[in-house]
Amino acid sequence: MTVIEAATSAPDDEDVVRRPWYSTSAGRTSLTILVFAAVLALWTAYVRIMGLSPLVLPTPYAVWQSLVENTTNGHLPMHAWTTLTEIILGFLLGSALGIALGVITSQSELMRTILGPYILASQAMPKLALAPIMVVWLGFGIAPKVVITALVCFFPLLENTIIGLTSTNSYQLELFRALTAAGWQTFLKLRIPSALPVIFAGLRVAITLAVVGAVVGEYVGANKGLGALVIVTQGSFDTPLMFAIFVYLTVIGILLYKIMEWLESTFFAWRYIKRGD
Amino acid sequence: MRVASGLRTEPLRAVGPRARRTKIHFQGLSKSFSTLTGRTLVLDGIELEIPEGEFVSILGESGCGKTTLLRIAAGLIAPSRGKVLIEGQQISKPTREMGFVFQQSVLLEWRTVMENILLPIEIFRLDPKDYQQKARELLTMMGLGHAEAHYPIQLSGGMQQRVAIARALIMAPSMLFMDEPFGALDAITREQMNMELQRIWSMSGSTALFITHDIAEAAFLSDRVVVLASRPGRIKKIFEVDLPRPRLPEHRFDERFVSLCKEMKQCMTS
Repeated sequence: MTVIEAATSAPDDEDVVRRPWYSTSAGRTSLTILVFAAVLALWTAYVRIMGLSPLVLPTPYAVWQSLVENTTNGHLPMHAWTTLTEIILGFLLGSALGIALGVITSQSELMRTILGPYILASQAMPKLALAPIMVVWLGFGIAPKVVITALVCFFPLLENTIIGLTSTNSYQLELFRALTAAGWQTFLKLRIPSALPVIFAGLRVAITLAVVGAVVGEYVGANKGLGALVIVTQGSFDTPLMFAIFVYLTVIGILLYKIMEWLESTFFAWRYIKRGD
Repeated sequence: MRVASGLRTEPLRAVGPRARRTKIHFQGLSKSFSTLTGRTLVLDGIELEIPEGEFVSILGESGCGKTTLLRIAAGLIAPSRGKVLIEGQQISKPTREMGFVFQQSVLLEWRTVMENILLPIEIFRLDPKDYQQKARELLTMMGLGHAEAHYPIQLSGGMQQRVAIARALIMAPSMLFMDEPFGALDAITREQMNMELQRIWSMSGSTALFITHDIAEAAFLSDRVVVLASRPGRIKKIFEVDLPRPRLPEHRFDERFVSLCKEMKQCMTS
């Protein structure tokens, strides 16, 4: 078999030598830094040449100054904390409900028939459009943002849980039948584990959407949070601070995504093993 | 033995020293499936008695219903007519006395080799710790002693199928149902696996029902080979394989082996 060949064949030294400079780890890092510096330089040049007001487009340096100032005085971290709380609470709530309803729905054809049209309708409905009514119902605190975020996270999990639990390999199902497995054993030892990769894919989508949900929720009506702060900077023409907020949101988004990725890779270690290892 | 047409083949010889009571008994078994064009008869009037400890192969072309026969024997599907008796008891679903090896290894890809082999133990709600030693012995016997912590994806097709065999044997089942277990393997690996299966089976004393379309494989492994006709699947002829055991790879070139294979080939194509 190919596995054995791959394991026993000598490493191809020439291949290592011929690797281009940008595929080594040091090369990749320097390339990234270089390109980033070039983008900042072009951005600065554009602002200077066009003579743009910082109200329209601040220079990277102005953004950096605002970022440092508002971070050290605790202004941005405080708002970021509020937004992060909404994101995480909404994500946990929405995902948990999505998975729970997905499990229930996948168990019974009757439930699928009853809930099917509503699930489709509510999926087609843009959840963010509900933000104003949430403010009416739940006020200006973090509750409406958590609910909006939860709504946004709910559907990817609902859908992926149903898909994951109902697309179990038929040969494996037959094996469990041959082994005289009870329904709950098949569920716990087969359906759930084989659905997990699909459910995790849903979680990855949801965590990205959660950031959008929380920020848009704050746009609609809030006195705290990065989204609320964006609206404030718009009113006060503090565009450098607005850009600094964008930096914060980007970093939060990347961090949360990376955490999900890390969880996934520890959970599914077997998927990351190379063949013939 | 009674053949579907009512003719008799040679009377069944006493094959081994063991006292043979009937383990698996097919009685007038028929199976039809509904298709777009109506009902299709897949198996027709199968009568077969398999004594305890015997290795029986069902040989036939693809689509002759041999897999259906195995699935009925194991209680995975119900026959349309007739019944299957196991030790005189009619069965309607699989029992813990049965070990299965399918065409694919059907391993759970998120479990290590060891965890896969212990799956039946978990399902029977026994303590996996009590069976770890036995699982290791099975692995060593099949040349996979180094692989217990590997994941299926790290193994070749032949190794995966060995793990599937170990999983089937972990409970020491009194019946082994194998559905073309080596069909996906290359010829050389297949012959190796035949040797290993013969060795393991002869130590286990279990009754084996083996589905294959490979004549030499059937002849090499079996005490008896049942040739199935196609559409509908009927027992065409039953061959006694009275070659001494253990059979060795070089026996495949023996005159008796070769002529038996020829006869089976003729029977299949006639």
